[in-house]
Amino acid sequence: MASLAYGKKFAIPKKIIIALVALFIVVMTLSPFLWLFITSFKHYSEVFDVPPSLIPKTPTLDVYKGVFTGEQLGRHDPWPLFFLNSLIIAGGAALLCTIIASFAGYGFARFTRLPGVSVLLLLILVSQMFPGPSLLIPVYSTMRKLSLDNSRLGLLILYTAFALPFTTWMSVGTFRNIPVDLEDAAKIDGCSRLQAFLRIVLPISKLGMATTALFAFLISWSEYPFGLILLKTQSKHTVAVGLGAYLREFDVFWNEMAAATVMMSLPLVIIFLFVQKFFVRGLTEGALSG
Amino acid sequence: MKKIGFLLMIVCLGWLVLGYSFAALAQKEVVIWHFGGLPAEHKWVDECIKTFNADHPGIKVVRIEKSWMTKSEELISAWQMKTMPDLISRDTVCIPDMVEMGMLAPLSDLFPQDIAAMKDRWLPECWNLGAYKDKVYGILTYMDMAPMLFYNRKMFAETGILLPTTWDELIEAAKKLTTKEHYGIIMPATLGLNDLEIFIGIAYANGGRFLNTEGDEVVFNGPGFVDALQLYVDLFRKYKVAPPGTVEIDYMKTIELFLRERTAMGLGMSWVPVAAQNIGVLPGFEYKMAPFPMNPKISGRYPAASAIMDGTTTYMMISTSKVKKEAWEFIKWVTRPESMQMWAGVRIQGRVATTGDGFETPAFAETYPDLVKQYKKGIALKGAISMPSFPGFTEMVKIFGHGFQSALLGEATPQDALDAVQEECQEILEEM
Amino acid sequence: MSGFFYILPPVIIIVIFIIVPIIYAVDLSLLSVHLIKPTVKFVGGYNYLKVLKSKTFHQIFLNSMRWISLGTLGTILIGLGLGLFLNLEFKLNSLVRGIIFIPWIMPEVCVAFAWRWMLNSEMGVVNEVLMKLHLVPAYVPWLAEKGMVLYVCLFVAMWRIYPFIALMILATLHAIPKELYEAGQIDGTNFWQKFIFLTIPQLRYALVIGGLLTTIWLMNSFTTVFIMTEGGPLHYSEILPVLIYKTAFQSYRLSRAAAISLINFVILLIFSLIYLQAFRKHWRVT
Repeated sequence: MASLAYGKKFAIPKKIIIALVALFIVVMTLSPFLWLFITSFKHYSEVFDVPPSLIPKTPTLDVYKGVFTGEQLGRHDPWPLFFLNSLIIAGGAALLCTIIASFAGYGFARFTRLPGVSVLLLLILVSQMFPGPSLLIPVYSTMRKLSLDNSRLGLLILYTAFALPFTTWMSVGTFRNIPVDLEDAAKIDGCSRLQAFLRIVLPISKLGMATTALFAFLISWSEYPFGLILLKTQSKHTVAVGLGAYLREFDVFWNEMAAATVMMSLPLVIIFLFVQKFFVRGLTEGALSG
Repeated sequence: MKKIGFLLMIVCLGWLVLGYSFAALAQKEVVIWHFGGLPAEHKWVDECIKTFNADHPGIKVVRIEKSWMTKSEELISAWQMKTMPDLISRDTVCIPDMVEMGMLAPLSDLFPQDIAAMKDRWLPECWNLGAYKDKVYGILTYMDMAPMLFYNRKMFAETGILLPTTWDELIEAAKKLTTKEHYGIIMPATLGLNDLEIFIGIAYANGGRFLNTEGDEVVFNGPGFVDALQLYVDLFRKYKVAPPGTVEIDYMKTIELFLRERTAMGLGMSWVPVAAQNIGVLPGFEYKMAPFPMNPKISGRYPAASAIMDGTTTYMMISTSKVKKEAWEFIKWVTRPESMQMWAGVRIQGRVATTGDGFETPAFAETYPDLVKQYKKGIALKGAISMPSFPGFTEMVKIFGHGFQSALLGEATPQDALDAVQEECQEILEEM
Repeated sequence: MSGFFYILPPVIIIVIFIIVPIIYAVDLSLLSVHLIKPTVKFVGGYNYLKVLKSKTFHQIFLNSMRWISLGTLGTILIGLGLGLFLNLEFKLNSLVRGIIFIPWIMPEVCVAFAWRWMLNSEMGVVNEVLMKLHLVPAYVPWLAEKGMVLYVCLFVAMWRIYPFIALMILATLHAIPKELYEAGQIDGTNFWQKFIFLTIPQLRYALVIGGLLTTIWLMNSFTTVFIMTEGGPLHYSEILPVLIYKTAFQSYRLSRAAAISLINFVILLIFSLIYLQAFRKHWRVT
């Protein structure tokens, strides 16, 4: 209330409007997450109450225990393993994607006089459109021919391919913004082009690369259809595929699914709360630098 | 002496290691994909596997649970990638499709003696659900029957309404039972196979058929189906005794809402007790199951079916399995007389038994007194027929579902709606 | 020439995993692969003809077009509003920014699941809350009303995308030099004039990229619709990716599914060419 005395006359309503809008946005955004969170503390029979209870009547932690230990209601999903798989696949894809995209971004920004460069860049831009369910069957046949089906490595490479178009393009933007003079100075000191790139240019574009990595990671983390079709062994499943298995005949164990969702997303949410500032800055330097 | 002792020890150790590795080599792994089912069933199958593995040191059975909703895509992709399991358990409706794709092994050709010995334990109607073109491909554990009407006894007692036995009575009862707190009736009506099966059951009871007797013409636009669909449409659109969201309420939501007293009656298959066992009921909640009311004047051309059956947890063997003998041992194990009693009410409540052993358990008699009475008279499952199943059915039933829903949504009259999709299905049938 | 060492790796990967499959799809679409039938014939354009003639396809095509156009427009507008809002300075701003990103982090499967359940007409919490607040007189069948279901699904799909667009806009707003506005202040322009003549031109590039990404994501948002409604009731919420999936895996018609995929590609190609035209100066290297 202290602010009342200090603000200008119209400052108070404006503040309240901002607060209300912010609250509305947060509620709209969080509602499904909140609902899953509430449900994850309910007993199974309470899940089906009509009308649904907004606060668990007898909160329980059993569901979380089940998800953690792999002893759920009639299922044995090794969630920690799924989490690890997702981490390896999404993390690997992010890493691979960042390396390739950085080199390519630099290449497209600097070697503008090579024959066919614009055609290749155009190809990359256009191919951004296609990685979707329409590719499901052909990709799946291609992966089979390459013996990359039912393999985590295969999925890792596939996700890299899916994230590459946008991330390459983002890093083209990043490197165009870095003045050539810096490298020229390094070259005078006797560095080769590759050395100049690795020692001088890459460190400056850290932020852009981190953004690239985060983008690739998030895209790979939540991908579902290709994971479902390509991973046949349960021990190789990702979190998204594991969650999809809750689409079942008789019993959607909503409380369990909710608990699994909360547990699998919470680490990412917490990380993102911290890195979003860099993400925004990275975007500014990369994709958005017109 | 020391040296000899040492040598002896080494020899013994070596022998042990060798022995173990041979045992490990000799142990064969049988992988089962288990589609659908309830926690109680999974627990029971896991127990079977445990006792089986202990009893057969050379075989190791591994069960993997799979989602019911994505079963066909999982199997197709696994078939293409050659990562099929040795056994699967799923519904019998898919057998023709899977046989035509070459996925299933003909059990009656591979193990003729065993099959001949087993056959008589099953009721013939049930046994035939696992067969296609005179060959046996699946061994049933239990089956589900449609259509069933389940009703809330308290609500019926309060209003003093008698159990409806005809369609007109059903409409009257549903109208009287519709209040502010609850609906009169819920018919599941999504495009899901289970929901459509329930409707097909009602249409079959009204003398309708999906295909004609020769199997070369799609006839679901005949009066048997059309009048049954008109009944749904009337309940939903004309009398408004069903929820406005009917087309998004599936069989499972129907039961959930019924168990939470949001409707006086519900339509479904024989699995209501299973679901009740699973999610629990409110205190004082009492329900009963009854056969679905009949149309007093059967309007279809074919004999009225008393029920339609689908073997939803049937064991089938994959044609590419390299351990067929061992896999077969396991099928025999889960379908032994002792096991079949467990499937029929002792461990799993509410499913319909398929063997004589199952019909004789007291638990089964408690849930299905009428069925057991008929069984004792020797007329069990009389007039019950199998869910339609032939190559292309999975595709056709979806198209049929579009006709079904377009009538419910008021886009066309039941006749026009079914006529339109009949044409499409006929074309597919001729293509097969 | 050493430049190719930098440029070729992504090109190779994209060719193997995206371009080759597309060529494979072209081949597949000219055959008659049907999983139940053993014989495969060359049928030429038959599959395309069959698809283009079917009434269902027309309806689903229209749904897809509505889905993309309204969805892109809506996402951009919401993203723009939210971006501008987050550009204001207030307490907890960075917390709000972090929170709005949650939809994008949650796996799409969960998002779709959660919304389907929350929007259920009889058991859903949305209806329950709206009833308690006296905002609706009776339960609303969100996912069973033919005129509404497509837009409800679209809302969920947008709900997952708009945070990213908002952050892109925010990032661009941060980069606008303060002097620009200060100059405006002196001239005595009001808020709207400032917005239209100063802010929007600065945002143009971000808006185009945002539009492009939204179009791609919406055109490919299969999981949301598939889990929420499977395209039902009837075909009222069905869009092309769902049709492709159903044709391939529920009807076993791989070749016809490939043909629909290619029609989908052509649509996407047209969209991408429009976008590329819009910012051609950025991809023309020289």
